[in-house]
Formats: sequence, C-alpha cells, structure tokens
Amino acid sequence: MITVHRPASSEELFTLVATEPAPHFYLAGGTDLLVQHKDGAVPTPSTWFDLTAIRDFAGIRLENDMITVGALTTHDDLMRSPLIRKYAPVLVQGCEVIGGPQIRNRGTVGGNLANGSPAADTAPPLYSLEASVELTSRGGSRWLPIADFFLHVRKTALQPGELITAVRFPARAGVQGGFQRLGQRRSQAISKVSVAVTRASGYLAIACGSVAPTVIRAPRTEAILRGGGSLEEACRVIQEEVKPISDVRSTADYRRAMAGVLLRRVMESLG
Amino acid sequence: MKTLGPEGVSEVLHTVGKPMRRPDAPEKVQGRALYVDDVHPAGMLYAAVVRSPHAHARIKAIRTEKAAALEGVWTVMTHRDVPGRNIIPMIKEDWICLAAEETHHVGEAVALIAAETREAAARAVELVEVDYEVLPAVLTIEEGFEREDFLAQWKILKGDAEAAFDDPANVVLEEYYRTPYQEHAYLETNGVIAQPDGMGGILIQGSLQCPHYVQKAVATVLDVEMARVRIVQLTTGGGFGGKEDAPSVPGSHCALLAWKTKRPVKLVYTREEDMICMSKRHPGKVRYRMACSRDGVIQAVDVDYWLNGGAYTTLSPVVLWRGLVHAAGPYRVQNVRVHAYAVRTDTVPCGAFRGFGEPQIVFAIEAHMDAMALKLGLDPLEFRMKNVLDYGDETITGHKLETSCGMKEVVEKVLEKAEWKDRYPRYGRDTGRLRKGLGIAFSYYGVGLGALGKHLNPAAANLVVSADGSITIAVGTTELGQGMFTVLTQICAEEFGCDPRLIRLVEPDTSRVPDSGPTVASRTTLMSGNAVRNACQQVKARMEEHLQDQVIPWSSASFRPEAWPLAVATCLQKSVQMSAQGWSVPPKTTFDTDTGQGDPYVTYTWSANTVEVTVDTETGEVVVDRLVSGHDVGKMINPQTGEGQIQGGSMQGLGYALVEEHVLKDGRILNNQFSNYIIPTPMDTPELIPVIVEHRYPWGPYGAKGLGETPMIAVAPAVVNAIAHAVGKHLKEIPATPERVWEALNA
Amino acid sequence: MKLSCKVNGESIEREVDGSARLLDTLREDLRLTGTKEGCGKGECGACTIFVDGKPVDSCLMLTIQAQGADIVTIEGLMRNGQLDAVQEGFISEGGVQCGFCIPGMIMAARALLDEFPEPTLDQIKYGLGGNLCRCTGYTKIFEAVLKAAQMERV
Repeated sequence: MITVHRPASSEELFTLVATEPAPHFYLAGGTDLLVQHKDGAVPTPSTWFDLTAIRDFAGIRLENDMITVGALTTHDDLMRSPLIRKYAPVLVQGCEVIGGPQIRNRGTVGGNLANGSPAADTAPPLYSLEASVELTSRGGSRWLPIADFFLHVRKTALQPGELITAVRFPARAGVQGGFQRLGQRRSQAISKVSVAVTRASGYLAIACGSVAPTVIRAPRTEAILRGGGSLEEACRVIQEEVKPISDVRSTADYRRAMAGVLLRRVMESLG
Repeated sequence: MKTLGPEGVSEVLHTVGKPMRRPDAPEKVQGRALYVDDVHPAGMLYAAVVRSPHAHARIKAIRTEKAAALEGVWTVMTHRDVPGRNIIPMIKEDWICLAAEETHHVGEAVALIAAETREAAARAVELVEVDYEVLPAVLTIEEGFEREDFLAQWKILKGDAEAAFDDPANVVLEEYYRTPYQEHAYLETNGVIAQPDGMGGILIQGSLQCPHYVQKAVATVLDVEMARVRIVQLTTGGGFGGKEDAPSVPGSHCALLAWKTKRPVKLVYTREEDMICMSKRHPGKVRYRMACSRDGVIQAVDVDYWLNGGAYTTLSPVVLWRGLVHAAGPYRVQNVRVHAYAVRTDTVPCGAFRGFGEPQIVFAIEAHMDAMALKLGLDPLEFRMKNVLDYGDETITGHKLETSCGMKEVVEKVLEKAEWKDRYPRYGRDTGRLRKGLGIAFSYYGVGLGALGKHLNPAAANLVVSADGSITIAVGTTELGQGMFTVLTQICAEEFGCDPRLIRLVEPDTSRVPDSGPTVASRTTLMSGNAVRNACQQVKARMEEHLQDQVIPWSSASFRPEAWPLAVATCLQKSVQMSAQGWSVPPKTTFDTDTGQGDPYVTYTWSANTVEVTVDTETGEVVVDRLVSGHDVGKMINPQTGEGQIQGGSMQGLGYALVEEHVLKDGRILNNQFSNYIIPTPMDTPELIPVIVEHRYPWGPYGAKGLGETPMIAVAPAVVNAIAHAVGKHLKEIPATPERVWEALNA
Repeated sequence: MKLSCKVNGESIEREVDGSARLLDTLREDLRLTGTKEGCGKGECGACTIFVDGKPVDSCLMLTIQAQGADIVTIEGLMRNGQLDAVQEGFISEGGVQCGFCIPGMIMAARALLDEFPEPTLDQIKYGLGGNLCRCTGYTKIFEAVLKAAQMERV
C-alpha cells in the first residue's frame, strides 16, 4: 500500500514529512518512480509526497549572475526556456534526446537527478555547467556541488527528510555547449555513453555519462584542452579517464572508444 | 480495370484490387474497439501466475495455504487440481500446463491464483512457497545437439552433393551464421477472459490468433467435450505468430480458474511476463557450404540448420520444416544435402513468428550468396540472376514451377525503384567517416501450411444475407490487424456486385464456424478468401436461377450494386436460401520424409528487397536510408493493406537486423521490457518502398497468393550485405549492433 | 479521494483511489477504455492522453496528480460528432492495423500538429518518438499525419 499526499506548499510538505510514517518518496513527473513501483522496487507500505502542486519548486530565473531552475521544471520547459537556451545550450541538447515528448512533458530536472542514474541525460550537462543542487529539509536548505551530490549508482547525498528543490549554475557570458550521446535507438533510448562540454571565456568543463558509477568530469582531458593541447590528444586521454562496464546495453571497450569519438564531435560542433 | 486472368482470360474487377477503407478503422481511431482488457464481466476475478525462477529444477513441494488464506483470494491451483490431462496439446503432447515434477524453463507456470483484485492476486503469488532442487540446465544449441535431444529432425537429400564438393573445378565456401531470439512485441500483451456459460460450458474471449487451438487445449485440461468450449476472439492487438500456439497456455490457465471458481476470470499478462514466458522466434545457427562452378553456377549446397526450440515441442517441427524446404533460397540447385534439427533446451519454448523458420536460414543463404560472389569475383546480383528460379525450373524438393513464378519481374521492378544501376556502382567507394552501401537479398515463401499441416488446411465461411441486402460473414481465421476483414469484404462485394458497406465480418467464434486452421502462413487471403468466394457462389447460383425470369438489373456478371437490395428481397420472397457455408480445400501437397522430395506447398510468393545504408565508421552505427521491398503476390486484393503489410514486415526485419535480441543469463531473459528489448521507433524509420508484382495463381481468389510474412524474411541479409558493400566487412551474426560493426571494423 | 477535474470537456467530481494510476482511473472508474496500456512504464505511448494540453503517458501519473487538470482522452477528440482530422487521416491513409497503439498515436499526432500545423517529416518523427507501433512500419502513420495537416489547411 502506498499513501499519497499532495501538499500545496513547502510548509505543508515539511509538516507532513515530519508526521507521516517513513519510508518517504517524493513524486514529481513519475517517469522513474512509477516505473520502479511497477517493478516492485519501491518498498510498501510507504508514504509518497506529490510535489507537483508546490509552486515554490517551479520556475527558471536569472538572479545575481546565477540561473536557478526549480526542481519541478520539466525537460520540455527547459528546452523551451529562452534563459536556458542562452545560458545552458548543453542542457537543451541533453533534454532534447530524453525519452519522447510524453516523457519530456512530465520528467523533471529534480527527478532526473534524484534518481541517481549515471545515464540521466541532464546530469552530464549540469556537471559541465558546474551546477549546484539545492537540498531542502524541514530544517532549511543547503547547496551541494553536483559532483558531490552523486555518490554511486542510485546513491546520492540526499539525507532522510531532504529533497531536491532547485539547481543553479553561473550565467556565463558567451557560453557555448554541446551534448552528444549514443543510445540503442533514436528516441525512447537510454544513453550508453554521453559527453557534455560547456565552454566560455576562461572556462571549459567536460563531463561523461554512462561510463562510470556516476557521471564523471574528465579533468586531465580538460587540462589538455585548456592548455591548448591537441584535440587528438584530448580524445585519447578521455578514454583513459572513463571507467565503463559491459552490460545489457553495450560493452566497456565500445563505451571507452566512443567517449573519444563523442568528445571530438562535440568540440568540432563548438567550432 | 481489366486484368489478365490465370487462363489468359480477361476479367473485369470492380472492388478487388481497388482502394477501400478498412472497415475496422473508424472504431479503432475512436478508441471504441474492444480488446480483452477493455471487457469487464460482472463479478470478475483477476488471475495471476506463480512462475519458476529456475531453468531446470525439481519441484519438491508446493505450499499454497498462506496464499489461499489471503483476503480476496478465491483459489490457488496447482497441477493436482487439473481435472483433465495436464498438457497443452500441440504437435506433440509434451507441453505441460502446470509444472508437476520438474520445471523446464524460467517463467514456467507452477501455480495459479484467482482473486478479487489484481493487488490481492499479486500478493498471493508471493505467498505461494515452492521448494525447488535446482538441476543442471541445458541452455544452448550446442549443448542440446551434443545430447542429441531433438524436438524434430528433417532432411533433404537430392543428387550427389559430395561429388560436386570433391570436383576440383568447383569453388567451395563454408561459413557459420547465427541469428538471435526475436520478440513479437505486439503492442497488446496476451490476455483472456474465461467464464462458465451457465449451460454446462465455458466461454473464453481473448487476444487470439487461432481460437480453435485454444478450444482443444481447454477441452483437454478441463476434460470436457470440445463442443462445451466456446472461444471468441476479441479485437486483437497484433499477433505476428505470437498468438498462434502461445495463448493456449493463458487460455487453459484462465479456464481452470473459472471452472473452479464458477466466476469470470481475467488473465492479462504484464509486458515483462509476456516477454519472459511467451513464445519467440527461435535462435538459429546455420552451417552453409556451397560449391559453384567458376562461372557462378551453383553446383551443390550442404547445410546444417539448428534451431533452439526451448523446453517443449510446440510448433518447432513445422517451423524447422519450413526452413528446411527453403534451404537453398529461390535458386536452382541439383545436388542438395540439408539436415535440420530443432534442439530441446531448458529455455522458454519458441514458436511461430512471421517468417516461421525462414528468416534464420535466409539470413545464412543470402549473406552466403554475397560472400560466394565475392570469392568468385562476380557481382552479387549477377550471381543471383544466374541461378534464380523461373517458370519450368524445379526447387530443391523437386517441385516444378509451372504457375505464378514472378521472381524475375520482382527483381527487375525492385532494382528500378532502388535505382540500383545508378547507385550500386557509386556506393561502396567512400573512404571517409560515413560510407554508403547497397545490399540485396532474395527469398521465396511457400504459401499456406503445406504438406506437413495438411489436416488443418481446409477453411470455412458462413454467410448470411439479411432482408435489407446486408451480409454477415463469419470465418474461422482471425483479424489481427493484417486486414483480413478488408480483403474478405472486397472479395464478397466483388462476387455479389454489391456495395461493400453492406458487408459485415463478425468476430471469429468456434461455435459459429468449423475449424478453419490457424491464421498463419500467409494463408488467410487464399483459404478464407476462397471459402468466402465459394459461399457467395452458392448463394449467387440460387439467386440467378430464381431471378432468370425477372426484370431485375442484377446479375453476377453485371456490376449494378444499386440493384442488389431488390434482387435480395425478390429472392427472399421466393424462399430462396440466402445463406451458405463456403468451404475451401487446397490442391494436394506432398513430402517424402526420407528424401525431402515432393511438392510441399501449393504455390510460392517471390520476393526481393534492397537496403541502402550509411555506416558511421567511427561509431559502427548503421543508418538505413531506404528499403525497397518487392513481392509477387499473385493478385493484390487491397493495395493499401498490402503496402501496410510490406512496410510493417520490413520494419520488423530491420529490428531483427539491427537491434533486437534477448540477452540471457542462466536461462533467464535479462531484457524483458520495452526499455531494454529494443524495437524501432518512428525516429528509426527509413523510406520504405513497396513493390507489387502480380503473376496470378490459378487456384487463388482472383489469382491471389499470400503476403503477410514474406516482407520480413530477407531484410536482415540485405542489411548485412549493404554493410559489407559500404565497409567491406561481412557480418555472420545479427543484430548488426554498433558494437558488432565497430568490432568488425577494428578487428 | 475526491477527484475534481475536467475530462473530455466535462467537469467531474468523483470518489477515486488517489494512489491509483491515472490510466487505471480512466479505464476502470470512468470506463474510458480507449486509452491503452502497452507496457505500464512510459516506453510505448499507448496510454497517451492530454493533461492541460500536453501529451503525457497516463501510466506514469497518479490520479491525485490530475486534481484540477483538464484531461482529454481519445474519446474526447471528436467535435460535434465529427472525427478529428487526425482520425480521418489515419482512416484514409491506412495508418491503422491492429489498432492497439492507435489511440495513443493519434493523441501524440494531434499534439504535434497543434505545435507544427505544417510539419516536416522529421518533426512528425520527433513528435511521435514516444509511441511504438509494431504493425505498420510507421510509414502510413506519417502519411496520415501529413494528410491531417493538409485537411486542416483547407
């Protein structure tokens, strides 16, 4: 049995969280939680909090040179937002390949991160933006760099009673970004390897998805490119930085090699 | 429209061959068509199945008390509660309805639950305790072959193959080929509703391809006469062979629960359940050895063909046999040795799937044709055309082709649409990252059940003309989406010269029509088409006799649909019987099991397809840009549904070629849902161009043969041949995933 | 819970299980069985409906999340007894075979035409990218959408 509450405000939410029996689950777009529930992977009885009526957790805004995205923002909202298109083109590209229209209309950025999958297509873009994640509990909020948020496959820094309420990253002038991934087909596909790059004046960050237990940055590769090294060299080194496995979707060798191929493609797309 | 009939007689057709909207489409686009899960009889219980987690295990004990005690649970049943025989009768009687001493595949049913809610049924499943002693499992073709554990074995021996291989003048090439499991992936999973009919019988409604199979299975497990078992097909969300033999399992299970509880019971599989325990395309392995003269004439083939049949016989013997009969492709070969084996393993039973044993071996044949051409230094198309079957030739079973053999015209038209002459020489020369290639493959397909299924061959149609001139037709074959209702409507309208909107095909129901054999083997247009035609002709003959002295402008020769209602009313006033049962029995087929010689099928559909690809040499990704698929169908009754069959079959073929396979560990299917068993999406769809050729088959309705299966058969080899053309790597295993192509490129 | 929302233009208030999936509430409580379940995991799109004008998979929504929403299912697509142009297009172009994916496919097609009244083939494929069909090879479905667009232009 699951008991579902639909609080209208964050105050109401945290009051319920304090009083309702654990375990607690937070429901937004349902594109992961309801799938896990169908698989019997969500313990029952459990208490679910539907967040979708809470307005505080929605919206995209620019303040103090930071872009803040409410956790309930859907992939479709992100793709269409002028602010995101201007300051996070890498994230737009990540969202465009998620699922199909129905999934992009429901899936949220908060849910995509909370699910803890290294294949989440918003995660490498957010790593490359050096985003931070806002974790809120009854006691207040804390901001955590995204790289500290992901701990392992399906393991995040979320503590009991905490949920993701926002994501933010610097609004960098003249920012460029690119995201490329390989899936088993062209839509409704889970990434088997992905590379995200964000570049601005004095800034370059590279992140890879589905090649390690969490999304990873590629610091040695970044150093080569920042230092004016050759793209060829960078594409070789990134293959040493990734730590992929073989599974039902692909092989470790292939993923490793493709990290290099995708990096070159993203960099070439940035010109 | 004038077309030349089989005897060279010109025949004017008014409805057949013309566009007509599908009669079932309006209800379907409004969401009104009723599929099994849309039906909720009052007082209905929900069924759930306890399944074995082991490939091979001894069942030491089954304890059902806790599950039975759960609130809302009406019954928990095991093999001990089967009133009749605990089997699903198919070709053999080895298929167990509910596992008793042992389980032989992951997902095999061990116990059944009926409960008031889905949730209670699901919880009860968890509470059934089964003690298993896990036993060693046989999982692969190689292990099963080693143990000589066969579900079926067939051979063809013709001429002197060894002499041709020994002749030093001949070029010899031998290769091994492998093909994977393929999931039917019909969008509607299997499902049935069973309910006692209050008159000592039972009614089963469901998503079914072959209601009469289910009738026999239910009568067997309940130990009642077949006449007490009535099976009605509901609107069915796709079959492709997957609802031929397999629904007898949920059908029997649900019947057992309804019989015991005296309540309606619904059993609709989840997608995961359907993928774990329902039939699939057999994984295949082929050793193909061919001898050719240096100028490219095939001298001999020597073939071993293995299928992984899974735990029970189901339809494996006939699936295997179809592959055997077509083991040399549509080519002239005088010296032949083919051995075919369906191997028993402790895995999910495989069964019917569009193509039925041909896609596996045609992949080998047609990939081998390209490899052989390369070895001979010949153009692959020229090599094929040197050997292709034509009128007057004999197949490898010695079947002389006297009618309806339009292979050469199919190839000519396909090449034209594919712009082969222009594109083939241009492609295969790229040196950059993206490389284009063009591939071709031929196939042919024996229409109908053939010599091995003779007893199931006849088909019936019951036809009733009502007072207002409207017509009700019931047939024993089923509408699965392929367009049977449309085609039979057109045939009836053509015969009567009436408005097709007056005709209504009703849902197949075993109480309404005799067993008409399964809806498989591209036989429905041919068999039910002829049965409908026969029924129409009986009524027409009576009408003409009674109307000859009347001044009514209707006759079967004239096309005056406006006169039909008056003609009907006049006949009914004169007490003319305006109903009939049509019956069709196909011409004789033969097969000698010692030599593999005979006329195994009544006729063949001839097919060729080309595939144009772009291979990304960095990622190994293969993008199909264009596919041209041509078929000699005898006569196309409805061009739109025919094109739909070709495009749909082509896309299933592309899935098979590029992405679809099951990954198993210890006999357990790891990818059992649509997120990891990958089928193509709209975004993966290339330009799919159908080509129709009509060499009419004299016994077919208006010359029609069959089309349903053949479009998927030769797609995969055309894809790997196109990849080879683009990048010079001949894959011997599908699917051609980016990983496999990339490995081949970097080997 | 008491569900108050709009379904196919009609305001409804009804006692339902809020923790049920919206798909089940539509099919079993409201008897709107046109919306189909093909996988229950948002992979096939057969359960596509509109929620506040956007196509979503109703298998991935709880009923409680539809509180106050404007829902349209395949049963609500007809206007004044007339089929929607997309429905007409699917009939005339042969986009329907077994029909099980069709309600969801039509809803997705309606949504993409609302956004792109004159869609390119690529826009059609992207807009239908969340819907699987195993019968048609999609080609006649694309033609059906193009036909609907053409009918709506005149």
